[in-house]
Amino acid sequence: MSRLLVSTLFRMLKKVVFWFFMLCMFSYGVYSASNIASEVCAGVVLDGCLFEGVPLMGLVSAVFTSLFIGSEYSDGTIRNKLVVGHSRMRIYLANLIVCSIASILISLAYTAGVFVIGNMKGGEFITETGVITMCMICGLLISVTFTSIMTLLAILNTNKAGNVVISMVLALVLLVSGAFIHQRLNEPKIYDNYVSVNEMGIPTQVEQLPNPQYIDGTPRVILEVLNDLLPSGQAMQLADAFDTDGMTDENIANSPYKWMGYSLLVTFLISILGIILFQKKDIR
Amino acid sequence: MDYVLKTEALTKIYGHHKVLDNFSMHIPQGAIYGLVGKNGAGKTTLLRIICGLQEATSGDYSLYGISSRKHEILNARKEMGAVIETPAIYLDMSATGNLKEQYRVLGLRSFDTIPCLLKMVGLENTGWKKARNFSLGMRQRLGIAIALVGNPRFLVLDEPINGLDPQGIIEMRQLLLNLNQQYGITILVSSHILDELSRLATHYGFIDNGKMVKEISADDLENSFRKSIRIEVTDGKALAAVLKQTGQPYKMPAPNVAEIYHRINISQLTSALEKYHCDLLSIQEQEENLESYYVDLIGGVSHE
Repeated sequence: MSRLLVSTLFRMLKKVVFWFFMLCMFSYGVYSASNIASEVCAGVVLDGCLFEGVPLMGLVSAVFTSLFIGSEYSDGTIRNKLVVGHSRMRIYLANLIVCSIASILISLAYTAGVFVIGNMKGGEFITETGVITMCMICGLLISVTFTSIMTLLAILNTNKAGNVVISMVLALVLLVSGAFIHQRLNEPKIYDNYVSVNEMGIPTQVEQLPNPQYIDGTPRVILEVLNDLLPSGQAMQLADAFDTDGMTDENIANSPYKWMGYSLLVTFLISILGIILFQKKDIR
Repeated sequence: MDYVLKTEALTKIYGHHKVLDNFSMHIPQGAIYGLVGKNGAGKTTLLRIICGLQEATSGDYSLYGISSRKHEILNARKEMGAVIETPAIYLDMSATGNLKEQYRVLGLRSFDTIPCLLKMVGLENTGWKKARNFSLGMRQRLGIAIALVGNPRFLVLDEPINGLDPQGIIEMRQLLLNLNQQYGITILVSSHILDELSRLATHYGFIDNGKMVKEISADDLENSFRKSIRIEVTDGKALAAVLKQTGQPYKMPAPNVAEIYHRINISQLTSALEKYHCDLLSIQEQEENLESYYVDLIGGVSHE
């Protein structure tokens, strides 16, 4: 296993696409933090922009993983590993671990971008360091979960170009569905209906009505579980969890443990499924 | 006899199509085993199964006596190298980069033997050139170099001379003979180029429709080749009449040409033909070869 890990890791470090994404995410981190810094004269609060890059990791992971693992099939080099007696499980795990390391490093490149600008502009975090740290770990685990899904697709689909498209479409579907679920769950239960306003436009008579968009009962429970279970749901929640005033919702402080559990569960189940299917796959 | 590879009733079914049908093969240690068969006969599927790329639907094979059903087969594989169909190389790496990758896959720490391997396959001057820019022949050589990393005892090559120029074919032949004779590497090679295969192989296996039609050593094959005399005359009917009188077994591939499978007295034949006013134009001694043996055995007109 260590031999495969070393060889796959060396190959990852030589991949142009890896360094391209590192640079892109670092630049995006710099851009996000610069945006925040440009809005205030002093006391730059970095909490709001620290997790803006997490939802993007689905797409990044889709492209990187499908290109990286896809080249094993397009170049045929996966055969060199099987012929000399490496088991399929080890090959799968080596690819998963190395792609996860790449995703983590790319995520950290974004964070580094934010920190560089934060350091230059005297930025600070107003949320507790412990909560920020836990959320950062969650962000990294979300990247790993995305990677585990993309690894499953890449190792089962021998068509590299086709798999890049499929993975990107899946990442987009996950992202859009995550955003949709997150938005529907954030609908208020009651909304203010302005019955009348004065000549200044200030409401004088307001009645509170139940919001027809609010989802209640079992559908809400299902959507809440999906929102926490799917990496895209977690990513949307994390990106929305902080603003310039710190945490947007006090419950966020307790969510990381739940998200970590779900991330690890999804990664584990997807990887087991991937290994089982890969064992039975005919390789040409 | 020690066998490097034995397959017993190996069967592989894709959907409803039986690609390998109770296929049995025996490769003795130290042999260059030529696997011969037409396209779609099941050669590549067999090689893929042996190399662990695919699983057989039923049946078993053993490498160095270790059954494919045992977990130890993974250890046995460490002593084999293979090039199946296209060479398995990273196109965005140089020849040296590709070899280093395989060294790491095998857990070899020292890269000292890489120049030696590159020289062995004639790629010592490729420098930093990416494999993407290699010719088909160069890729084939690099594929073989990768297969040789770790000093395997058993080499599986699928069409190794495809894409090679005439000089490359000669060098490849010398390389394979050298690996076999000097290093004792057992080689399983599938090829359509029967003339080239006949210069290498010590054993043959003929496969057709997923079945092993015949396994034979090169010596036995040589002994089974029939010798014949090819005679060309001005009047084929006269020749046929004379040969009938002598009771010789013969075949007439062309109107004025006959192939005779027994020794004949040329003087007597010439005298007999003179009575019919028939002239003897040419006479040649010839021997069956691998190609004619293959055609006779498989009965193929549609062979490559």
